Amino acid sequence: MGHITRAPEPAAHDDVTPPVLLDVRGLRVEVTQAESLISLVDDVSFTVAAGETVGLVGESGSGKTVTSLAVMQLLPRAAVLSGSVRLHGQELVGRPRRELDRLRGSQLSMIFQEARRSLNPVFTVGSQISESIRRHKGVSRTDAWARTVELLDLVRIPDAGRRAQQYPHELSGGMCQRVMLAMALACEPDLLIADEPTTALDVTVQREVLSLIKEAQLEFGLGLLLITHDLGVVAEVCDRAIVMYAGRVVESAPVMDLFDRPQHPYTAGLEHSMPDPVRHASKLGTIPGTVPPAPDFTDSCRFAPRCPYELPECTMGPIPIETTAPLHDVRCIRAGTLDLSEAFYA
Amino acid sequence: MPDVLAPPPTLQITGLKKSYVVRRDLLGRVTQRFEAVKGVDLSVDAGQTLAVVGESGAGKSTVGRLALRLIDPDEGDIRVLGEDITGLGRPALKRIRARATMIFQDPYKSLDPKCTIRYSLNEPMIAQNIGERDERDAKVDALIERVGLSAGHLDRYPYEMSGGQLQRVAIARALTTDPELVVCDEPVAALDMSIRAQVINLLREIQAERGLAYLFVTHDLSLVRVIADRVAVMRSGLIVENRPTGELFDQPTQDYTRTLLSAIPAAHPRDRTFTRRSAPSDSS
Repeated sequence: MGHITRAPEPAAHDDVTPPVLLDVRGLRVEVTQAESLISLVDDVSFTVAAGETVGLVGESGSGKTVTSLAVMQLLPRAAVLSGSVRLHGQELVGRPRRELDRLRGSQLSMIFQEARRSLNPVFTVGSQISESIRRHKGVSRTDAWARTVELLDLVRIPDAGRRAQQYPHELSGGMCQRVMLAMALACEPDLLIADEPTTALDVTVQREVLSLIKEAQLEFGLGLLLITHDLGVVAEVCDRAIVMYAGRVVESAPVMDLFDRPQHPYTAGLEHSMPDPVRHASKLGTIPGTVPPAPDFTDSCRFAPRCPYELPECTMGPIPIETTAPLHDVRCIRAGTLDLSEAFYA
Repeated sequence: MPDVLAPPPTLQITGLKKSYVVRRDLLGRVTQRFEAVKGVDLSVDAGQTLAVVGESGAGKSTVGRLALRLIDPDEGDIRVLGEDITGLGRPALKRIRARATMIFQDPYKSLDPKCTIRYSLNEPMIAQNIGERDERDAKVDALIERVGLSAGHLDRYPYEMSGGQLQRVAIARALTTDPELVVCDEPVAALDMSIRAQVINLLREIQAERGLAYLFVTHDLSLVRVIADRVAVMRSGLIVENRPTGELFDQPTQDYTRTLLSAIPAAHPRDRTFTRRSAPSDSS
């Protein structure tokens, strides 16, 4: 499935990046609504290498969270998933639950937007962290607790020994996110998926949490898939970014390239809608209209109704994603022919 | 002393204090208070935007609510268009609330789910006894177009609209009584990126047309530079710095302001400021 026109070898970028850790190919997620199948995400392909930080960017309804849950194999049973998700070359799609349980937490971990809600309110944070250590590593209670305190120390929770015995409600949002991170790192995973980890936090706390994630990445050599709607976060911490719109990848590129030479009008529009004191002191570019809901997704370009560069061909058939520069893929038939530097400053 | 001929500021707040009861003893006597606002002075002139920024818990939303007396202050003066509203009773306050309105963060919660958009837009005028039915209708029609929606949206209910569309409705509603002051409490925080810019641009255009004063409460410092003439930085119930936006961003005088500003993510990877050394401070 899918219309991928990049080189057929799955590890096409081996010469420039470390070995591929996560390889997602032709991912498609469908749900049934009113007796018809609605696809939430389709033709999503990307890779994450060890030690690499990849941003998955999009607005609500773009499918970024569905994609991340699909990678974790955490979608509800009602969702139909097809395509391939490989970790270290091993297929995750269709694996029995028991095996997935072993992988989740030990090889791939995830942290979520609202850390406090992801923690169990009736157990101390320390016991929740040591639970996963004992489960995956089979060590003694005492050893697991010692490791727990060590981890809380690692994520810079002051007075870790005491904090470990506290409940989630006794900790601030930033602290809870650190606890989540400690838990995610407990069994030294290879891949960490962070779904909007700092969205609910103040800027100063956001910065600290992002720093910690990046430090942990260095320490453990983690591949990091960072899901965010905030291009500022992408600009600060990502090596590459994948831009999703209405359930599809519309552009993916190394961040410098993506910010300097966006090739999809949507990417350019998003970048121009960010306040940027350097380039445009007081005006924000705006993309007219809104993201279509999933039942209205079409086969042709889904951004066309909002796009100032729309041609009749844009809505006539499927638009393949094509490689226009090294590591730079775009799903737009006009890619490379447009000057997007002033896009959306109507 | 200000020139007697100069018009008074649209909003002027002096010595404002507000505390909340945290704990009472067995007999109901207050044993612990939290001082949300500990003595705030600020003013906003016609056509100007004052952004009140700070981290969660700094007291910025409390200041926004106090400004319209949605909650009552413990101490201090609030003047709207020169009139002291601190001690006004309900009928007089109602009159003021036609001239000073508010836009909230979450439009799904600030618009009545049982009412059509048309009714929600009419309601403030009905409450204020403004205009005859056809005048109100004409105004609603004009406003809905002005905020970028169409007359077709008027007969919808909130659940039938997106967050961005509803925030446009909330803006239109805030304008129905032709106010001079609008308090905007995180008006775009709940919106998607591409929608956020639309709404910000709309607020700016409307301000330019009507000479509105905005008190703009936000935690998003990157936005402030685009919208605000002045910025008041709040921390723990106090304003630590209140200066013209350009000055504040270029030469912050307070360490706290510097910390806040340096935490704003860059708009481009080339301006990356991220270092892997995070501040070791225990951030609440």
